[in-house]
Amino acid sequence: MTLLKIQDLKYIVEGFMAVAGVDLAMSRGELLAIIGPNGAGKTTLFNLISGFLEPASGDIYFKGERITGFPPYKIVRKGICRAFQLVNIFHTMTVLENIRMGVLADRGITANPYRDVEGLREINDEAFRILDLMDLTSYKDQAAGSIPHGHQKSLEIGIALSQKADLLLLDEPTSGMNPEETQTFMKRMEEIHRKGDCSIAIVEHDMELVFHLARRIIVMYEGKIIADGGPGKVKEDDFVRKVYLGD
Amino acid sequence: MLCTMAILVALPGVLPKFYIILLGSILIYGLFAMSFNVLFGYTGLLSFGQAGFFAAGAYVSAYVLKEMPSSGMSICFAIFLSLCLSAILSLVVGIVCVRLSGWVFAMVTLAFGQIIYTIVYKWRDVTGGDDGLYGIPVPKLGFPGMEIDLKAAFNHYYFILFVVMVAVVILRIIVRSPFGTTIRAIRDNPTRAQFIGLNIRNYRLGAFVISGLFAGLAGALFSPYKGIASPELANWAFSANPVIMSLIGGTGMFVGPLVGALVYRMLEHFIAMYTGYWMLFFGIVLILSVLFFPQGITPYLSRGVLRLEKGIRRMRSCT
Repeated sequence: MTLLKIQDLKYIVEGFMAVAGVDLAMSRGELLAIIGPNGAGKTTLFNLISGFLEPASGDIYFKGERITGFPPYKIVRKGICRAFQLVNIFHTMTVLENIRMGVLADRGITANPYRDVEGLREINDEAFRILDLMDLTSYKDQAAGSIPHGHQKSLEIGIALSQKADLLLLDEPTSGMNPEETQTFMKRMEEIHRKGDCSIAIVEHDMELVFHLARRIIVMYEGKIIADGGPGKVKEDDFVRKVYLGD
Repeated sequence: MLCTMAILVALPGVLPKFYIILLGSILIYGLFAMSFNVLFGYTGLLSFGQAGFFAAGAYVSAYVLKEMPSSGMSICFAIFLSLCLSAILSLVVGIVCVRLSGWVFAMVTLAFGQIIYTIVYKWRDVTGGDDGLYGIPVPKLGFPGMEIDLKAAFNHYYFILFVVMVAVVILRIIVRSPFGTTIRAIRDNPTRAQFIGLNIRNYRLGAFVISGLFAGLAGALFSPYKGIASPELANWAFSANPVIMSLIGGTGMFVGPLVGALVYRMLEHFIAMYTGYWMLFFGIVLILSVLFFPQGITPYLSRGVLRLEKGIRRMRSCT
């Protein structure tokens, strides 16, 4: 079943076509990676899907519904959540508060002005489950901006996971992580994907991670998709080897 | 908090009447500063128009008490009407302002504040123009089988203490609630907040209305206490009061603005006892305070109290 469908999507910035007619369909339960050189339009594509930018033309459908031009908060409510390339967390709040904020938003009780957040057992239990999943429990009472960068990246993914999204967009999730943290991240993503909680699209430069993790790889170059297929097929593609893999 | 309340209740038995009257006004200013801090400290929006909502509360309260017979629950009715007007006013102003942020937000709130000031200044038939509304009769509080005359300074102080404490408890509940957590998250990172599905304008508007409502409540207590509602209450310069109080006390702690109000008013009082140029000396104190206590003085006081408590406990365990 098609979860996400993109038709002839274009985005122009200062006369430059950053996304130049992308067509893409993603099925439910898929884990795909988007790769390509800098400036290929990978992050711009994520920005367009998540509503951060509005496309010049083309359409985006999610679960059969047209979501083109929707503001980010509406797209999140439809079931698409993202983690950013640069750490994007609530810096002065504690690690626990960050995750709890995500859970509160997911449950739709953020407008409640009288219940004590400390006393919301179900919300806190879920927040602790995600903290545990992301190995962040020991940092729970520290300000999010004060923990190591790799953990901040984990926290950002934790916030995204708290959304119970159908589609998770992860933009260079391992940048700033050390090899050990990257390995842990890889295992975690495999586990989340195996459980079938959500579909995942990752923009990544770490080729080892990409070829290990993703069953489907999309290669972008100058705003277009130049290859789409399994790791074997992408590795064999002459044009991909020439423009990106460097052979 | 209970300890602070106990001290505030006991103070009229210890302090001279003058200081009790001063303390009453400090509580009102403290509530005004706390209402401002909902917007500034918790939501990250700097408003220079809070005086407009304070003045709205003050004028409605003054008008009701002056034009309606001062008996029974009329002070409560005056407060209720003040809350209604400041809520409506802050909703209307907020709908426009929350579309903006940063300095543009601050400037637009200042402009709206000045519009309210101009209305107050020019609408002589209702507001008394530049004279304001004066000679406001001191109200009585009527309960079944009992009547409390607020003419007695202590009675009026206790009435203000009661209303301010109820307001502080409500504000405390709000900032600890999911809504309070959400506005803090929006202050920290509006972009991330949008990407967890929050329509940040709605939450900013909610915070704006709550802030305006409590500023209006402070105003409603102010005019009967002082006996006058003057246009200066709506002026942009009056909006600087909660800003300075919050900076002195600290915006990061819930009671910071209340502590700031206490320090501000006491400094004003004591410096003015020795020199007419109290503003000059106060300016120096403010600069030093911002330089040496960038988080405000409340966190330092709080740490000091904790250390004192530890010291007392240690002494007890030794004896």
